[in-house]
Amino acid sequence: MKDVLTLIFLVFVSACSGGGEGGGSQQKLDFIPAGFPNPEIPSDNNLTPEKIELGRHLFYDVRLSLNQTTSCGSCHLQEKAFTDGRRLSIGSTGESHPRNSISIVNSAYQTTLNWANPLVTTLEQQLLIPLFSEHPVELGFAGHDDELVRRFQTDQNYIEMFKVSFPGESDPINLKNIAKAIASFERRIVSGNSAYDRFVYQGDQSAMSTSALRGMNLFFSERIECDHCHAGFNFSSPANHDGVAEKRSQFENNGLYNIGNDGSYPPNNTGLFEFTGVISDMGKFRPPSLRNVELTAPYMHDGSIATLEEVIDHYSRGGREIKSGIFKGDGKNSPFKSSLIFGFELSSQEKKDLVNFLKSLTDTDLISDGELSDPNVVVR
Amino acid sequence: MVKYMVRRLLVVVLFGVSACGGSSESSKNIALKFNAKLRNQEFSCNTTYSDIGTTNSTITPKDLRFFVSNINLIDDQGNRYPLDLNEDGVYQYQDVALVDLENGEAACSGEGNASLHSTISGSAEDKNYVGVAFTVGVPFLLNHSDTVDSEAPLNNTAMAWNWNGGRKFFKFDFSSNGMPTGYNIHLGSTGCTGNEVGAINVCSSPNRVPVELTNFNPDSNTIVLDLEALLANLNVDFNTDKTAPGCMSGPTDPECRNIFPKFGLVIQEIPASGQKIFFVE
Repeated sequence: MKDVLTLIFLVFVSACSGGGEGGGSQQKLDFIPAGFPNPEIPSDNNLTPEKIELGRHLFYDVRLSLNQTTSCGSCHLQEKAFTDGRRLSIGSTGESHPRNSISIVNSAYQTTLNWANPLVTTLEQQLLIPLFSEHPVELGFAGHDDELVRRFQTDQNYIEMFKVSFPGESDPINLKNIAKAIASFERRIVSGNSAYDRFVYQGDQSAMSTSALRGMNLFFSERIECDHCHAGFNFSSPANHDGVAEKRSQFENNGLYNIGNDGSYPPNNTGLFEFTGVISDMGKFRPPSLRNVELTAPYMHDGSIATLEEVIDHYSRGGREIKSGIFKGDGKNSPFKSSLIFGFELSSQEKKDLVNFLKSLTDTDLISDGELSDPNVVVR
Repeated sequence: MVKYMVRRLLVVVLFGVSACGGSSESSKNIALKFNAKLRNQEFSCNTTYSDIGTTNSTITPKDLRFFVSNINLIDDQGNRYPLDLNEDGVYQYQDVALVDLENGEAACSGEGNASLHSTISGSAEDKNYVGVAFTVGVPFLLNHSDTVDSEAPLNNTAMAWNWNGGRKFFKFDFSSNGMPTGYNIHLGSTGCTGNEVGAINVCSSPNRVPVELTNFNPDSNTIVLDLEALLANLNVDFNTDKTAPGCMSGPTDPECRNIFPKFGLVIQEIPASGQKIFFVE
């Protein structure tokens, strides 16, 4: 009897470690570009091609909204580097979201996922927010998760996909596995084959124009300091990846608002302050990745800046002045603004160079990759 | 479900052991009855209520549910005895119960369901009880657990509060003349912060509501949630622009200044006081 138990135990242990991409010394995942580390994969959700494919189907399926109008892909479009091009996103019932759709490209490397929420640190947790949120309603499933599960339990394609994605589970179609599959697909949405990548990581000396190269030097210079917040291979806040020693989050106030000159932000967009209640956290948001930034307009957490040129003007001035109306105030003088945003002067050529550098972060493979596209759309 | 059954088996086994040990105290079954009242009527999703608040508005209910935990009965000597809840796999788990007063009909069909849960069942020592104490809220460790990985009722997605990493403790949603899409009263912990991997370890505003009621006999009395008192002196037709519609526990939300003190909770500079919305009938 004891031997049988030992055997069962050994089988169990080996089943758990099998197929594990999660370990620190694993081989590089096949979709990870040159110069990029493996992302951290949660130990209870190993990454498999089957799960990625199931997650892709779910991501683009409008049955993921209660009224069957909207999917994840409605606010995260591949051709816009998984943003939606709107100033503010709109939920399945027509309600406007207070924030701009943030790109989910390379989100596997983010320590926190939303614009300013410090509490949401895994993709599995994050997707529950659009599924069940009530203010605003996004996908509208609060109180109706049984209906969500039922929709896929009666679809033969999904029955098969869940079965192969979660082998050995007797009842694999459930909310937890829906979350695991979508998170797996999101981890697959990795971008790292831009002109910049070809120049820096792939040794292609001709990949970037001379103007973009001048812009790159500006970007990384102490004179304008862009790289202090948009740092590392992902041009974002501190990255999380396989083997990283310390997970750190970062939120900064970039002087977008200073209502009444006391540092206030619009009450529906107070950033980190919403969670901590600490006044000095007012208006602090996560520095988003600048990869594919050419495709993700409009910019900022509330989509309030339309073009890359205007974004540069904003940082060049060291904050935005709003001269009239309820949000009147000069963000340049906000008491909570990051000390790294102090303003700078650029010649018109330098500004063009900087824009050209930002455009060199565009990865056309990302937007044409058939493995990331809506599986229900037939490509001619 | 399997976990739940294993727990039940364990409970049965432990109960068996303790029964064999010849425990000196006998216990009795307790059924703790709840309801809610508004305009001198029992609350129902099928009723609209007129003459509400400072603007004499008419409101239509959309949801009414709240978590109750840490229930103790108080005997005539002032001693407290915990109510050991019957776990039912739906509404009661460990020492937490979800009181569900919406029937999923009319405007409650949005997020509601047909079943109700107005009576919390359990057992306590066989004493002469004259009072009851409980907390409106979910205990810290259970509150910040993963929604999809929790036992019912903690996996209830209508009470989930993923944005704030916990649950809504109390939820009363309705529409009014001035707020046709909804005025929402949501209570839950805010100001939560975690360690570097995001696991919450402290909340600056826990917003759990302690309730203690005297002159209460569990056999004959009901615990009443007085919605009339909750909405007193409130303008249910108005919400400050660009803030949560109603009061969703936002520490700076102007609408919470009226509502929080009725729960006895601290908000902005208004000091804490006793709760004013639960009474015995």
